Amino acid sequence: MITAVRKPMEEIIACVSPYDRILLVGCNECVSVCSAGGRKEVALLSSALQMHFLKQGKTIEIREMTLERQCDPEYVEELVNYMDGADAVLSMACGCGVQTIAARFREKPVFPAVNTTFMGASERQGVWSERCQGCGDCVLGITGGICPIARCSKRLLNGPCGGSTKGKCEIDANVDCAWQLIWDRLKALGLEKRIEDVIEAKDWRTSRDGGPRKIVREDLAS
Amino acid sequence: MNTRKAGSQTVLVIGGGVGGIRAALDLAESRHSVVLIDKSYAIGGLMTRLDRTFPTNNCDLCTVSPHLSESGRQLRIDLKPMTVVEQVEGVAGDFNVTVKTMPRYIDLDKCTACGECAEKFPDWVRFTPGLDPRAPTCMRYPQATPHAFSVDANKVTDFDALEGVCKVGAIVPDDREKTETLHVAAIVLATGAELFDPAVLDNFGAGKYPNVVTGLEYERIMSASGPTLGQLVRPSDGKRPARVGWIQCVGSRGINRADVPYCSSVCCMYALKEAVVTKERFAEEIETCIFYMDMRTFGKDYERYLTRAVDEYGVRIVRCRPHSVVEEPETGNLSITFATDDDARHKTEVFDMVVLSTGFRIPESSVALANRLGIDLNEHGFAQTSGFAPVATSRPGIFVCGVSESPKDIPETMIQASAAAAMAGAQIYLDENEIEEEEFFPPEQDVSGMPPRVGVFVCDCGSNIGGVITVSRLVEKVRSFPCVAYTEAVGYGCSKESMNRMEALILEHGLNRVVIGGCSPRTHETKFQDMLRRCGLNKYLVEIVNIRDQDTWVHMDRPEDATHKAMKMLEMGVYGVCRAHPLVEHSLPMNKNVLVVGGGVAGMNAALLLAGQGLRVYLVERESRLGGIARNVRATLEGDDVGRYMSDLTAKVQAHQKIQVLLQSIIVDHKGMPGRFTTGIQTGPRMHYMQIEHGVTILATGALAHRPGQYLLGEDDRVLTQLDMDAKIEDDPESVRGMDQVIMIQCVGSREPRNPNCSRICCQSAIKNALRMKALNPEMQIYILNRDIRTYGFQEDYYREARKQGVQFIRYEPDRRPDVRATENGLVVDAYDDILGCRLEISADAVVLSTGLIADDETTEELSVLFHLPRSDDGYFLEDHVKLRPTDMSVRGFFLAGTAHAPKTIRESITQGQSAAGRALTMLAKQWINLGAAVAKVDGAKCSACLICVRACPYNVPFINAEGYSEIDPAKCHGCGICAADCPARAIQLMQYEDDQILAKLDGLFERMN
Repeated sequence: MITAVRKPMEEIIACVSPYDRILLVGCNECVSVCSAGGRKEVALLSSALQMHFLKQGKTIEIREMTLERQCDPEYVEELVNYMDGADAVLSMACGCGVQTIAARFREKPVFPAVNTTFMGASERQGVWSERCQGCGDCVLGITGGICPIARCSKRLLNGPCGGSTKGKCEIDANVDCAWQLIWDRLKALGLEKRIEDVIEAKDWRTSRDGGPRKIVREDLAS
Repeated sequence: MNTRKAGSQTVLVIGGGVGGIRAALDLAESRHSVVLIDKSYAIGGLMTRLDRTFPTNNCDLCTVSPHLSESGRQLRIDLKPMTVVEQVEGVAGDFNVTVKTMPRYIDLDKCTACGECAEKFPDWVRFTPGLDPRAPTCMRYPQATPHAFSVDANKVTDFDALEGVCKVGAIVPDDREKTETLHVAAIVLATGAELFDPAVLDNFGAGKYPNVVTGLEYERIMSASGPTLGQLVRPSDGKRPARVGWIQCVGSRGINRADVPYCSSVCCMYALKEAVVTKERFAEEIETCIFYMDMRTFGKDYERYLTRAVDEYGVRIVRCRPHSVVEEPETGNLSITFATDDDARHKTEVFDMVVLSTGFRIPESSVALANRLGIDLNEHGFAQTSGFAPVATSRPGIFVCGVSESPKDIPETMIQASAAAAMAGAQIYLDENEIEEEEFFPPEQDVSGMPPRVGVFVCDCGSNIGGVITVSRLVEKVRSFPCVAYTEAVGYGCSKESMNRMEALILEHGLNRVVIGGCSPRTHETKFQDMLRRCGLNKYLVEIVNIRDQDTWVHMDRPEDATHKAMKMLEMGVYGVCRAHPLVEHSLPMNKNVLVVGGGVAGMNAALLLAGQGLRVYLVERESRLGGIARNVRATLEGDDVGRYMSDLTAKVQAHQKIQVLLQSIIVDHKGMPGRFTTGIQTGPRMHYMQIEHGVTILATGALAHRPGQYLLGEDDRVLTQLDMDAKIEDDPESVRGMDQVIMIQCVGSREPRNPNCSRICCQSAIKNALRMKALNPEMQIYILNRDIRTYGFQEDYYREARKQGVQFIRYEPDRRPDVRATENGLVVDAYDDILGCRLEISADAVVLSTGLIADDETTEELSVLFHLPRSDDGYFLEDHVKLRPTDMSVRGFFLAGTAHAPKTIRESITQGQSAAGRALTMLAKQWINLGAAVAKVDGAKCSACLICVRACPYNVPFINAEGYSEIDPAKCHGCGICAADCPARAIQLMQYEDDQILAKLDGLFERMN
């Protein structure tokens, strides 16, 4: 899923303080699952903002909406009836959601209330870790199911480097060395020999280096 | 066809202590009518006077008081305080009992326990049990049941003045004693005992020196509801003591005048508890020291309590029975002179306070009662029962529990109470076709979609509310709140008159929501919920606003602010109740079959009792025959023939047409919910798989006879366990008769780091075998090497007898264990004797090891995983509450009996078997399983299937269903609300505590700001 964390209150307050009527929009997908921007976070942020402005002697009108998915125009269309009553939109979705709203409602300022962080998986309740960088050319098949792009600090394709100590990365003793993990896993699979195969330099054009990416499925697109 | 007269469906319970209350509740829950009488004006007995209870050190009132109000609520219980038995005629199933009720001078129906009378006349007279000065109109403690006062007429000089203060007219100056005849099927005797008054002894200074108190008086001093409000101070000068000493066995285990010979069983633990609680509160500031003879911590996990007390809390224990206590007149300090085994000299120490651990005594009144009941008492004045019928008295149809049977602590009283209730209930023929519990309430009207019409009723509760604020002002204000259709001040809202008026008003004004401004929902919610149901409204449409506890009691000195707060509280109540909606309590039909796991003495007793009530019982035993460990025991300490009892019991079980015995069978899977379980077993030599549907499960899987490889056990066949010796005495008496010298070693494999608990049964089995061996050969020399002799209760009589017959008891310390050697001429035991201060070398024809019991770890572990049940550290099953629910397990529908719970004797296992059956009956008496209404509900449209609820639920209830959203089975939900709080999509609501209700209350609270 795409993970996010809420922005600091001061930053959010600074964005919305010029406005009297805010449409606060959550998303019931990834940000809900990572407890950053679902219905509950929307309600909490709404109360927090109202309390803040009440203390300032200002009443602010906040309408709370949580869409099934903010990155789909059909769902975003549900906001159309409420736009007239709003001076600005505050979105708790990931960057995709914020932009979908901005694209649909050109005349209304849209502010992000969360920082979109990474594509990750939940380790356990309340803990998420980065697992994928969307490089566009997956190597997991040859690295024992552990991604050196997302999980090695240096994105080494032929690790480990000299900074690997007792299975941990030199940047932080709490960070696992991805290449140690790859080695352990290959060993468990009986594929130790593979560590000696040199992985050729990666073609980064499939990643961000080739500019903004787009998928067009001719069979689906109309 | 039931030919018995209507009255004979009733059971009379005599005595309203914890035992009597438990028995009455069990019977009532099993759909029997109960009359519960107590000579006192409030039920509760001794336990309500204790400060904290071992081994959890919980405050007692918190644990016992809900039980008390529970019994007050039970419709099937007719509670008669201040009532005694005059005469009993008839036979089991058909008794006529004449009872006499003393005048209370207060009408229970009218009294609301407001406390006006106690306030006005507190000092007229003193009511002084120990250190407890109380008023003439006295409730023993705030949660008393019945929730009403009583008047001591002898002390009252002016009844008119007393009548004058009572606003509800509950004072009845011309109250007279009443006599009536009850027609009952069975009687449960639960009169308990008194505590010994040490003032009759001249050596300890009780009653003479102010700083010498009894254990119970010390409890009262420590108790928050006691005379010093929980301040530990000594009576002479009100100063906190720095050194407190306890003297054990005061009046017990003695042969002198005023002593009783038996052991009171509870004093070691209560002295330890008092010392530990003292240490918990004052740590280094107070030194504690206990003088004892044998430390008898034989109950479940009690040995660990002792270890903790000594090692962690620094409670000092000294083995010595001091002769006397001497007061230093100037200081009030007390000196104790004592001697210890390892030191030839006397020592004297000075204490600020001395606590005398006094035990149980049967009062004269109980002896007289026994005569009126026509039951036999044993030589000590306790009700006589037989070895294999532990709760049956000598008169059929009369059963006994608690301390009236023998000295015992609270958990054992609870076990026995449920057993006595089960046995008494078995005297009653229950018509299986009896129509289901009649609904006395009219059908509920559908209020959904109706605009809320809220009725607000405000109590003044005497001075409690009305004394601080003006209720009429509240009522005026409430009229202005939205949706309020009617409001009125109702005086004492919980009185019958007010309730009747409110019911009429609800109907007259078509009210569909009600707010009560009054006292605590904890005590009164059910009462008002019932009132709504009588008006045809769902019981969840009432909101109780606790003005008394949360406002007028705490802001007594600020009436204006208190008035304002009460208004706000009522406003919150009104806003909240507008959002309330009718809730349905879920229910499912109950499966009435019973699964009993384990065919030993406990399991078989439970099975027989339940089958006798017409229930189908599946008895699963892993061995190829029934009997368990008791099959290897030949005789009890009291000399009863165990072999014969076991073969009779086994035959009865096997011949019972309602019991299906499944031998060589093991449990392999399990699912379902309380009241509707499905358990898979593999049975017979071919391990055939079958499934059993059952409503309850009784676990009686027993324990194992311990055989640790110590002291040449298993290497030399002259080294035996007590069980081996028990059999040898019976099977080969000649070889036993030929022995000249025998040594027994106690605590082998128990009370040591690997198995820290006491096995409870070994001291009595050693003495049992010693006495039987002495009977075979009176010249035989028997030495029992021991650490403490734990012959609790009447077992002490046999300990005394053994010493009289010349059995030698030699103490050893764990750091100086005896040593057993095999030589050509026989066995030789080396032991260190503390008194002689040297090593002894004793030759022996046989060495008998008291190896006790250990948990059947493998079995309990397997079953605890299958059934989701907790175990204690040493592998026994862990009951739901070690004090009050010793037979119930934490998963409803599971009950525990016998040595799977903790080591116990055959007699104790029989009791718990019957107790488990009794507890099971309380569940099986119901046709439906009520699942309550406060459960979490998922709105599938909002759910994002994030799994947070799945991970957060402590009971593993939510799951993502086939439609892809979270689903919560109301039958399994415990209503804790964790998922509702954590749900990031706000898709989960906890019924009765929904967000919109809480937010509406906040709207009410902050109405001014919105």
